[in-house]
Amino acid sequence: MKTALITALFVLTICLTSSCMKGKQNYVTGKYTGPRAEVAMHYALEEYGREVATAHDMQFLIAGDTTDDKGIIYCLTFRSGATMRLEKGRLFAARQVKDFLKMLQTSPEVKAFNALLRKENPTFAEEAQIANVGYKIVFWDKSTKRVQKPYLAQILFSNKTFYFYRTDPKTQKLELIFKEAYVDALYHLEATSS
Amino acid sequence: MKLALLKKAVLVALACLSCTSCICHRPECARADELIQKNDQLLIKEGYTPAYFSGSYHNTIRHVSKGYITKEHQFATLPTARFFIVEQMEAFAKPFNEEKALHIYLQDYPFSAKNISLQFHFLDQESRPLLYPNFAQINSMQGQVTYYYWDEVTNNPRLAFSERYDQALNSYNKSKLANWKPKLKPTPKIQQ
Repeated sequence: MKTALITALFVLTICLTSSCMKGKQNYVTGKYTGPRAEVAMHYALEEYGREVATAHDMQFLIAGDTTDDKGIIYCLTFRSGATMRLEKGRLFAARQVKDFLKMLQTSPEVKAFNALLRKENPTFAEEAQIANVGYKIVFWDKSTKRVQKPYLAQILFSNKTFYFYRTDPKTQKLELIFKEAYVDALYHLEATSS
Repeated sequence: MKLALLKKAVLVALACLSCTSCICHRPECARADELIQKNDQLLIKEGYTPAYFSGSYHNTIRHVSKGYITKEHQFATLPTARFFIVEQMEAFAKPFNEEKALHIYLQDYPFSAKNISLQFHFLDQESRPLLYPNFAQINSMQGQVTYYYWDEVTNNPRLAFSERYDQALNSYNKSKLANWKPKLKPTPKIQQ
């Protein structure tokens, strides 16, 4: 009786799992999990992320949402050991996000994933929108200690806004020191460049 | 009997199914799971049985939620219950904050009560929730600690007291400073 029940349990699990997978056509599990088009997009973002990391002496961490904003679809996260003050961080982050959006709007993998999203939600834009972009750079030194004041400890881009954090020396928690809308950051970048 | 076994089988199958959809394949997730299992081993030795687990490892380690049941412990006063839950929460968070390699993958560092949910269910020897004056359930979720009695009429937990985790932690620190430690009452014997 017990053996029969265990077999039934096993078969039930397999059936339920496979029916779930059929529901989500071409579902892929692994480092990135989801529909094939979504996973392909994440690998394309990762490739881009690795190039960016090499160019700026950073460590690429992951292509996937690491923000607390529910609207984020395309997101990259990096670790850096650099010591960067706010002013330098503002320009650096604005440049990075601007380039990332450009990449998103030209990538065939992103277009394929957006097409998939449009099947479920026809109002979803064909081209990647800044509202759906996330970007995070966390600053940790070689001994995995948060970079301390007066330098930045984290730069976060979500909800069309840049957030700049420093480390609270007492608690080692992040404290927000400055935030700037994407449009304002672009003006600032252009003004500084010219 | 057969029906009960079948019910169990379906429940386990559903649990297996839900787990297959939330497995994280990255090394940092595996390490976090190891830390949780270590904590489980310690609690098992103390007489707690892990009842469920859920974790939000969505790209970063955001949240860990664990539930335990025990027939070997009981808490009838707020100070002892508070002391217990705060010690459990701090012990749970400690290895996450000590494991340097994990820091960059934690959504919030230091990992704290915001990121951990613990739920303890206290049962008698016949697996029924403990009755007043003992607490039947103590939770710490999203920075809020809640203590419940068991309501025999509705057969549901009844709120006894709730406080913010930082308030509970303050009280815990004060009692520690005063060198106070709760004494656990022995579990009542089964009346046959």
